[in-house]
Amino acid sequence: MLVGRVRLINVRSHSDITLGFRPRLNIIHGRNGAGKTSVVEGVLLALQARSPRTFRVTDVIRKGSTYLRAEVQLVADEECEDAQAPPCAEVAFALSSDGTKRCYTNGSPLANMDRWAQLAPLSVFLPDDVRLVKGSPGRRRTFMDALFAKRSVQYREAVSRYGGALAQRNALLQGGTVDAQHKPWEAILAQEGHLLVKLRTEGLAAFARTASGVHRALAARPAELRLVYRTNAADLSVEEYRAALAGRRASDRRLSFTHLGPHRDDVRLVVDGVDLREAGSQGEQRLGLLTLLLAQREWAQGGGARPILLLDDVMSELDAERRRALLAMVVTCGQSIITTTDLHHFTEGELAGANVVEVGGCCG
Amino acid sequence: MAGGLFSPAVQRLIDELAKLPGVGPKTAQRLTFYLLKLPPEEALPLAQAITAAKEAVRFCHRCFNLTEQDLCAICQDPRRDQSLLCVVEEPSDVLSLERTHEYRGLYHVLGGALSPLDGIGPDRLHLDTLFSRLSKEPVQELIIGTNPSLAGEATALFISEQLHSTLGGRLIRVTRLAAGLPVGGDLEYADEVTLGKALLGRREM
Repeated sequence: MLVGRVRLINVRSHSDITLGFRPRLNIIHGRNGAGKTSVVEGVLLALQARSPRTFRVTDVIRKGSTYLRAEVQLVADEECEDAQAPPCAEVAFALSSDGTKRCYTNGSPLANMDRWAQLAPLSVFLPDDVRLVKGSPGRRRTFMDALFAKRSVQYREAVSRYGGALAQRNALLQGGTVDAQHKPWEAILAQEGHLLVKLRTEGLAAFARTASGVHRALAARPAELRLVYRTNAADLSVEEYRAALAGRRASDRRLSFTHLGPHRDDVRLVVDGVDLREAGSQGEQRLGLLTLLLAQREWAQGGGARPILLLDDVMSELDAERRRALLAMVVTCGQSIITTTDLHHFTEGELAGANVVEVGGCCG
Repeated sequence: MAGGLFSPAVQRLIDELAKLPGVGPKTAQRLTFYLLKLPPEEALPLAQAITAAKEAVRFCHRCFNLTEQDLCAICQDPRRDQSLLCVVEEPSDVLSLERTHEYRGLYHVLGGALSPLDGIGPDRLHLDTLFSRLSKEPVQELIIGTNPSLAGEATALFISEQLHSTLGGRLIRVTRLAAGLPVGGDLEYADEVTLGKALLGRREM
C-alpha cells in the first residue's frame, strides 16, 4: 500500500499539518528546521508506533502540548496488488505525555501495528544513522532475518525455534546443571542452527546479486560490492555441530553464554576489498546503507509488499551523478518520500514527475 | 488499584481469584462482586466443592493422573494393554487421548515439560518414576505424547536419550505422536508449518 494523506498534530514543531502524497516520487521541501524530518518521523509513528530518532517517544510531542496524534491514510498500490490489502485504510497513532499509546485503524483501537508493518512496510534512511553498516552485527542480523523471513516460512520457524532453544541452553549454563540436561537443547540447537546457516548462505547469495546490481548503478563508478557472510558454524554437519556444542559446554558455562552458532553471525559489506564497517569512509557507508534499503525494496517484489522509501536529506549526501542514479531507481516503481532543503538537487524533468510538498513556508 | 478500596476479606477474594489462569484483576473483581451478590446457599457450594475436590483428589501413585484413590481408574483397569505406555505432560492430555477411544494402553503424566528458563529441570517432573516403571513393568512400546512445542520436544529427546542408559540391553520401541493436518480440514487453511510437517511425515498408501 502507499501513503496518501498525512496529518500530524503536535509532532515536534508541527501543531497541526496535513500533507498529501502520491505514488512514485514525493519531495518534501523546506528550509532547515522547517520540520521535514518530523514528517518522516510522523509517518513512522503512525505506521509502526516508533520513532527513528529516539527511544523516548514522548520526546516527539510538541513543547507545551500533552499529546500527539499521527494519522496516515493508506491507499492501494495499483501496480502491486495484494489480495490482503483493503482499497484504503486510515491508520493513526496517539500518544499522551504520560506515555499512554493508542493505535487505531479506521477509528477502531488496534492492539498493535503488525498488520500495517506487513502491508505498508517502510525503509527509512536518516543520514546520521549508518548503524546498519557500521554498528554491531545484531542490526545486520535483524535486517537479514526480516528480509528472509518474509520470503520463507521455514526461515521464520527456524529463527524462532533456534532463539527459544538458545535461551533455554543459556539458562542451563547459568545454573550449573548436569550434562544430560543439555543434550536435548543442544540437539535442537544443532538442527536449527545448521538449517539457519544453510538458509542464510543461500539467501545472502541471492540477495547479494540484487544488492551488487543496485550498488553498481548507485556508485557511478566500477565498484564491486560483496556481502560477506561470517559465521562460526560454517561447514558443520548436524552431528559435528552437536558434538562441538557438547565440547564447549565447560567454557560456555564459565561465561554463561553459548558461543557457537548463528546468533553470532555477521554480514559485512565489502566494496573493492574494503570492509565498510572497519575502513569505509562516511560517504561509502551511507552509500552502503542506501544500497541495502534499495535492494531490500527491489527484492521485496518476490514476496510481500514493496517497502515505501523514506529518505531524509539524502540528496545533499550525494554528488550529482549519484543523485541521478538514485532518482532513476526510485521513480520507476512504488513510492518514495525524499526530504530536501534545495530543489536544485533535482533536474527539471525529475521535478515535473514529482509531487513537491512545501513544509514551513518557502526557503530563501 | 488503590489500596484500601475494598475490605480485607473482599480484597483477599479478588487476589485469590486473580491467581487463576486466564483471570486478570478486572475479571477477578467482577467474579468477586458476582459471588458476593449471590445468596449464601448458592455461593458456599463453590467453596465447598473446591475444598472437597482438593481433599479428595490426589495424584495416582503409579502414573500421576488425577484420582480419588491410590491408583487411578486406568491403572486399575485389567483390560488395559500393559505393554503400551504413553507419556504426556498434563492430566488434561490423558483426557484428550482417552476421548479418541483409540488408545488402550497405560499413561504416565510428567507434570510439565523441561524448561530451564522457568526453572523446570528433570527433578521437577515425574521422570525418575517413569524410568523405574519402565525397568519393572512389561512395557514394549513407549509413546512420547509431549506437546509439539520446543519444551515438549526437548523433553521427548531427553527421555529417549536417558532410556538407553536406564534399560541396559532391553529393547523398547520408542515412538512419538505424529504431527500433521486436522481431519476434515482444508489444505488451503492449514498453516505452513503444520503443512510442512505433514509433508515430511507422509505415508505410503
